[in-house]
Amino acid sequence: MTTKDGPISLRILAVVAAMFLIVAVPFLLKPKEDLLARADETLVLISPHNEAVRHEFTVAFMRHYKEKTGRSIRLDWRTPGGTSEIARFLAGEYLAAFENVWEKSGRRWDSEVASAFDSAKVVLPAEPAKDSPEQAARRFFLESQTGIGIDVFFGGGAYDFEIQSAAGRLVPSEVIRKHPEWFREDSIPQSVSGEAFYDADARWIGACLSSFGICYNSDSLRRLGVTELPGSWEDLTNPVFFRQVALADPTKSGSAAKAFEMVIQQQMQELVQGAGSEGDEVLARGWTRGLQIIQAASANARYFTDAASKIPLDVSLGDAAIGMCIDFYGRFQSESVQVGDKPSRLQYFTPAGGSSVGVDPIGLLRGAPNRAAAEEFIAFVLSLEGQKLWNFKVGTPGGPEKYALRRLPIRKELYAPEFATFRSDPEVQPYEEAKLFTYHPKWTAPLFRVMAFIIRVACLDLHKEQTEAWQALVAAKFPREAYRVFTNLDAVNYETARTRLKKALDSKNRIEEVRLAKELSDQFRAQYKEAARLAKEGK
Amino acid sequence: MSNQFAKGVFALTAVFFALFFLWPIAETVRGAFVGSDGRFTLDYIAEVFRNPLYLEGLWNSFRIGIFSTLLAALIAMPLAWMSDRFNFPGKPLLGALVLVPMIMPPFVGAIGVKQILGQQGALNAFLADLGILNPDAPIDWLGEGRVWGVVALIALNLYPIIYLNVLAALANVDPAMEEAAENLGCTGFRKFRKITLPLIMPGVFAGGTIVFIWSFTELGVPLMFDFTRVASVQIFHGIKDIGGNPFPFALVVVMLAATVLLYAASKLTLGRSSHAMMAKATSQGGPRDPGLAGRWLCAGVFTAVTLLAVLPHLGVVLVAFSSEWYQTILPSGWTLSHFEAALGHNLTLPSIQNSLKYAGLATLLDVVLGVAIAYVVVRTRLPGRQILDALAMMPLAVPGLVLAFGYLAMTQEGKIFEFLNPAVDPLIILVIAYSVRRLPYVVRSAAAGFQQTSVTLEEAAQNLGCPPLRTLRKITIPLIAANLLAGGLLAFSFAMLEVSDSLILAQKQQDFPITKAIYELYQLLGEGRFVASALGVWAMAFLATTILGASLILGKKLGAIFRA
Repeated sequence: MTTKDGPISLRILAVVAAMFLIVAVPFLLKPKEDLLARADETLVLISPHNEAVRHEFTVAFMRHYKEKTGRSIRLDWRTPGGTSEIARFLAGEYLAAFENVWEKSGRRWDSEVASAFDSAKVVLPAEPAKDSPEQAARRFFLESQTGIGIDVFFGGGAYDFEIQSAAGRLVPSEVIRKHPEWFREDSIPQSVSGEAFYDADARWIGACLSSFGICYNSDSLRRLGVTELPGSWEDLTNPVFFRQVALADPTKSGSAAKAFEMVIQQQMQELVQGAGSEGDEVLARGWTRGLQIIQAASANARYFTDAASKIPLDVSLGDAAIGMCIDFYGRFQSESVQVGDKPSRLQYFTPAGGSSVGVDPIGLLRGAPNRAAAEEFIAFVLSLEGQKLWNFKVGTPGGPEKYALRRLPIRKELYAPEFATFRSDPEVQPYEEAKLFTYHPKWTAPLFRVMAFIIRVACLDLHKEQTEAWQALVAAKFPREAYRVFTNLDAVNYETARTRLKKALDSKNRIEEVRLAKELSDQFRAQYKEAARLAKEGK
Repeated sequence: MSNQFAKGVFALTAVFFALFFLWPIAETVRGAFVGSDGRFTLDYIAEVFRNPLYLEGLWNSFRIGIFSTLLAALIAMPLAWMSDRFNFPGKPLLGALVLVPMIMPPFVGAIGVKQILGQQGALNAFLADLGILNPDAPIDWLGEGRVWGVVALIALNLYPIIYLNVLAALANVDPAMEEAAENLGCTGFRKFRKITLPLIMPGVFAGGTIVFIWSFTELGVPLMFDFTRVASVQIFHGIKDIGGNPFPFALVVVMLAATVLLYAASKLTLGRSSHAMMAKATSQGGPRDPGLAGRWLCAGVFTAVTLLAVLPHLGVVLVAFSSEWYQTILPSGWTLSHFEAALGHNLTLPSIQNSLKYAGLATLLDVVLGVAIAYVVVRTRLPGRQILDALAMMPLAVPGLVLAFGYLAMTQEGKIFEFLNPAVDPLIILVIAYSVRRLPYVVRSAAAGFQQTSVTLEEAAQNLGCPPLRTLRKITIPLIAANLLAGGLLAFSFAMLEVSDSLILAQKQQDFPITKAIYELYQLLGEGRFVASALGVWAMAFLATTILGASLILGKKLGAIFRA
């Protein structure tokens, strides 16, 4: 490491100068306002919301809190990833925290306590004296202030919040008691078209609305020769879209699983309306028809992704022609790739009568270290002041300061015509759309995990075999016998799903689930191979 | 050095590994061995071998590992040979740029690749422009790529590792050996196969094993191709499943065991066949002038390979400067605003400072541990040192999420390592996490340094009454300084680009490293991929300048990395 000759030291000087320049730029561009600076108080939140949402709520709430209490507050956002990472994080942290609390109370920690304390399946008798050891652990947890240093869980799907509530990790907020005027039919309804919008015990409350729909690239459609614009979930099964469909992964996201549930529910509804009865036999046919649509869409799919933003991005870039997509992602991406006045190449729609409107909730975590500020934040998010951030344009009165979030507020008041000029999406009326579809929880809700499991074993795991068979079917123009074998879903019919599959998935013994997955996957693999063989023979 | 001292070093490094490598893995994967009754079971492990899906996944991983290594060697060896034997225009710069293909910030790599290989990407636009391709029937490179696409991309990403090793090995070949062969009538390719290749085998092996383990367990590239039937992807998806089944951890255990076995097998078969040279090459002829045609051929091949390898990087750079890029070879609109948004974001500056702190300290720790482990492995005959050697390579093979969740579990309140809890201050646990995962680079380069340095120098010092630690400081470290700098540079670069630990362990925004800032910007709707690319470009520029500077200072000694 010498600089014996001149040129080398010159070169080194050049490198040092370049390094100085590179390091200097971020210092020069440093923002004026430091949102991470110390404050009188701290509120800790865990959230899958993106930086834009976090930024706007941070800035607005810091101001609100200062005005109301005279104290400064810092928002400490914890973002371990998407909802599946958050679920894992919460489960792990509460387990460790409770083990600590439990042992400090002088009791002995064992695997029974570990599996019982956060299990909703442990039902407590009225008399604590009659508690079994498992029930005692559960009761102790539910009556404790076990905390993980985080105050608020903000964003995700209602399903994720149901799970956390059932486990006992979310506790009732006082917001419903303090602001009963918000929780009325004309503001935040308890449920819409069969979907719950908040928990009656206030352990979670919807903060904004979302639904799943379809986005497509109009250039790609033209290229593929598709003249009729897509309008329903069934359009994803059109063989012209082979390897051009982008799907969300129902095993990693509750809201994606919900979207697949809607495909099934829509089929059930059509049959129930036609038959005029809600008999099991009618529902069973709807179940199978819905799964067959999912199966064919999967056979067309490029992938199943757990990154919600990937699909509209890929479709807008033409890497996929069509895909299922969360509403606001679709609208946002559509506008951001629009050039001039031409209609954007990325279009989004909600399949008519094929999607319910759900909520992204907010909830108070057990053992919140700054409970008062947490309650204030929840109330702020649900107030009109906070709700305006979701869909108002940047710079409008009460709107966001930097990012247009393009999400839909839950408060009905903001859909009034007087706010239309301020909203980014004035034409979108989710409460009207929701009337086109009614969700029937009792048909499929108990099978929520079973559905994701079926889709995993029949579609995700066997995607290679499935697409090979589908390719053969398309090439042979869907010969009857081959098509019948391909679409045969007897192994996972409604009856089996409600009995055997549900039992195996609910079992504490997880090896049963692994074995069942293997058994079903063997069967579907054989079916797909057989279908491919038959198709090649033209049968 | 005294045996007692060596034993102490061995014990210390072994304890460190047990605490911060084996323990966190055990924390995460122990579910794979616990049945519903709370007792030990091998049922999950057995299921891996019963299920054709997972067997196929392992088989594909194995194929990707083997073929990526072969292809990377095929690319790297001629380049190294040219660089060792000939002078050609641009050689110093091309030599200094050779590590650049490996510096790819996470998340944005996929953006660059997609922009080039996508159906409406630059490559198809280029082919359509040439009239070879009908724009209405574009080639779906990523959708159809599968194993071969993955292999090509990995090989282009990792060939520098083999290149540097082979270059260093070639530099050590005594020209007298080759001259002797020529005198005896053995020339051309036969001479290479019979004489040169066996002599440089240790270098090929050292680079090859790192590339093999890396590609065998590679996650990002198969994900770019949406190629899911690969063990690493199956593990990744399994861990993220909201059902929370312990089965994927059984797959982790199998994958780890497979890596250990493959490493051991390759060490037994290939690593043994080294031929020690009587003397170190002292009087080399130096690189020759290959003639006008040869000069330009060398420069051309070198430039072409480098350009091909940095295409994804170019993609990222262009995305960062573009306002629109769709169906065209180059962006159709240009802007600087993404840099303003990225570098002016309130997460950015603290994240740069944090990353420098975490990666810098981790590199220091790596150098200390690397020297200790390499010393035990090379300089002592302690039983069990080979296990330590294999163990030191394992961090390359463990999925990042497994270690990250393990660290999280072992630092929770009430556990022994509570004082390292990342929610309070992640500094120590992140430095440890970063250093464990980067340790293999420093161990390999330090081991190479020890092997190239005669032990007699240390013995002489000790005979003259110099105590062991002082010998290390005064004699050994200065002798292997170049190797350590080279290994440390790689460790530092990859620590700056670390993903899993950063996402899981850096919980508070003021603690975020730069990779997590990139991730956060990437999540922004609409502008996300542009802004993330801009920050990615900043990181690439920073690391490229660091490496360029170091290689200019170190000169040829950079090639000493990894020699085992």
